This record gives sequence, structure tokens and C-alpha cells, in this order.
Amino acid sequence: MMCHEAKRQLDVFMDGELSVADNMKVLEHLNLCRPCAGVYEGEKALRGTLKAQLGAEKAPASVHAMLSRVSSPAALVEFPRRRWGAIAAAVFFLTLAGAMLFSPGVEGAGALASEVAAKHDEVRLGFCGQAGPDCLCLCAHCCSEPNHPIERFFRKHVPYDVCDHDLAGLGYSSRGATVSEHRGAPLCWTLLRDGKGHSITHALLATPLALGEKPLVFRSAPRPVVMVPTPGRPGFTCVFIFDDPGELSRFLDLKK
Amino acid sequence: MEFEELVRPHVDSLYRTALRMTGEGSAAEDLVQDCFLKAWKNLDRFERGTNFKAWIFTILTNSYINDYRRKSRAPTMVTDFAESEPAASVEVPHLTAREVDRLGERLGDRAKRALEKVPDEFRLVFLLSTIEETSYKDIAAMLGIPIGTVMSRLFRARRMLREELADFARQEGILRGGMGS
Repeated sequence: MMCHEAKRQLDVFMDGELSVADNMKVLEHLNLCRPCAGVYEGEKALRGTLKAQLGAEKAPASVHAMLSRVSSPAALVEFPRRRWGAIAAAVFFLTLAGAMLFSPGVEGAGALASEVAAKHDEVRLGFCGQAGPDCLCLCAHCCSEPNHPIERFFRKHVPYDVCDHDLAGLGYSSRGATVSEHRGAPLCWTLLRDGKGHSITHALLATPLALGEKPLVFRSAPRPVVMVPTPGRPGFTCVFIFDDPGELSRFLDLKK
Repeated sequence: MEFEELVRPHVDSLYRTALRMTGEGSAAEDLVQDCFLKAWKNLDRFERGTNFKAWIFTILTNSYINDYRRKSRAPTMVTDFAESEPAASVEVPHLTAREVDRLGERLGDRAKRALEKVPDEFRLVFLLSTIEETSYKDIAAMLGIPIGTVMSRLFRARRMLREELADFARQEGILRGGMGS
């Protein structure tokens, strides 16, 4: 075997995937050829270093706990899923009747934006970070409370996703959900956060605003608000509420 | 309890692979949770006596490819061209064991960053093979690709990583000159 052949086969040799005959040929060559043996030692060391760097992490306790919960028979039926789209979609069904009671036009959207932003301040305090009677934390640590009132609430009323404003692609994932009342109808809110601590609150309103296809941006409401028509569901409006104008600008930049 | 006993030995590997593919802890937890649920619901499809690790990793990789990545903003796709592209003629330098030792001392998170630059499909094969020590045959079965494709993706992933690490070694003065062999 020549040196170039030995080097070409070195990775497969180290993976233990060569045939017995080829394996013997490489071994023989490494025993006889000092430079190739040096290359082999270097590659072996490099694999060890990469494995130490990339293969050392252990799953956090929350993942082990998740496994225990999944493997309980009740979980098959009741295990809650993190699905902010479905959670937000609850509003579609739950506020259907309420939606018919009022239908402001675009001119009413500003007032509604202020109303929702103000309401959001109260609701935001309700995102407790832990599962409570009126707050469902959707983090990995407490998302598997099968009989949580909010989880049961969603399970009963949300047969499938309606809203498909998926922000996962922008790095956001759902962290908590809570329910409040708005104009006599239950309203569900979902808090989303990305890995860097940026937050957005999302709600779906059953308000038939004549928004057209373009989102409406309200920078001067108590908090910045963006209203977006729900695709395929005219008359319903997704509302995104931001902590401050900086968060809004960041979000709009991401959406470009 | 049987399901838990079957899965428990692979929890770290599943999480690690999910973490390296998604690049974020909470996304990795989501992916692993999804994998657990699907495995639990479909446990009757697992043939007793066959390779459970390969079976559950198939679920994880399918969840990543079909669910997670589809939602991501800019999925990295390996084109047919990339699969069939001939290997570059320039040889990537091999580091000696001593150079690797010095490199390891200064590497920090450079290996992770280098791996993040490797396209998804190549990275996944590298992780399954080199980090999780899975056979080519099992990787081929997990990903539904021929063994030859496993080998070519692995070759390219390793080449990209070596290039990145060689650049770093040059910057650090560990590797001198151009392309050795």
C-alpha cells in the first residue's frame, strides 16, 4: 500500500468501517511507515480533542424529567405540547361570538391597539414563570402539567392551529401563556422570548378590523403594537406587543 | 418503565445532537421532547431485538429535518451538485499529535463555531459518526440515504472542520507555512 492510499483510507479505517483485508493493509502500512503513523497519531489526537469539545455535554435535568413524564401512561393522552400557534388559535374559537358584537374599521384600530397594550401591562405580570392556576409556563421545566386549567382549556377548545404567524424562524419560542377577559370574551396571550432575552407578547383578537394585507404599526400606544390580519381568517387580528420601541424596531428589521 | 429504560442510555446523545443541530438549548429541549413523544406513541413499531439507538435517532433526525428545519428562516440545503462535487485537489494539512495538544489548549469554543459553519446534512452525519460513534450502516438507515452518501458527507464535514482548525492553528502560530501533508 502506498502512502497516499493509506491517508485516503485513514478516516474510514479509524471509523472501523474498512473490510478486514483493507484494514490489515492499512495497519501494515502504519507499522512500516513512520510519516503515516505520525499522521494517524495526529488524527487520533484531533478526534479526541473534538470529542472532548463537542461530545461532553450532558442533557440537563429537565430533559431527564421530561422522559419520566412522557413514559407515564397518562402522558400519552394529556402531555401538553409547546405550541404557541395553537394556544393563540384558542382565541379564534373562544371569541367567535364576541367578535360579532363589534367590528371597528381601521379608524378603530388605534383605539383597540391602546386598549390591548394597556391590558397587556396587567397580563404581563401574570406570566409567572411557573405553572399556576391562571398561568401556564411553557418552559421545559413546567410544561407538562397535564391537568393544568389552562391546558385543559386549550385542549377542550382548540382542535387545530389557526394562526400560523410562526416566529420560531426568528428565534422566538413560547415561554408562557395566560388567559384574560377582553370585551366579555376570554382572550389568550402567549409570551415569546428568544435566546438573547428579547420578548414579544402575542394575542389573537376576534376583531374584524379592515386591515388589508399590510400590518398596522402603532408606535405611540402605551406599548408599541403591531396588528396583523390572520392569514385565511379575515376578520381576525393577530396582535404583537413589544416592551419598547427598540424591540419593535428589532422585530421589524428581522421581518424584512 | 420499559420505555424509559430503553431511552435513558441515549438521552445525553440525543440532547447533544439536538443541541449541535439547533445551536440553542431550549430548541434542543423542544426537539428532544418531540422525539420522546413520537417514540412513546410509536413504540409498538419498534422491533424488539433490533437497534433501539438507531430507531430513536431516526425519529430525532426526522423531527429535525421535517419539523424544526422547515420552520427555520434560512434552512441550509445540500444540493445534488454539492453531493457530487469532486473533492478539492488541495490537501488539507494534517496536524501532528503535539500540534493538536497545543491547539486543544487554545481552542475554546472554536470547535463549536467551526462545526456551525458546516452545512446541516454534513454536520448531522459527522455528529452521528464521530461524536456518537454510530456505524455508517445505521446512519444510512436513520437518514434514508445510501452508505456512499454517508461517506461523502462525512468526508466533506471533516474536510471543512480541518480547514477551519488549520486556519486557527496558523493564526495561533501552531501550524507554520502553507499546506503540509
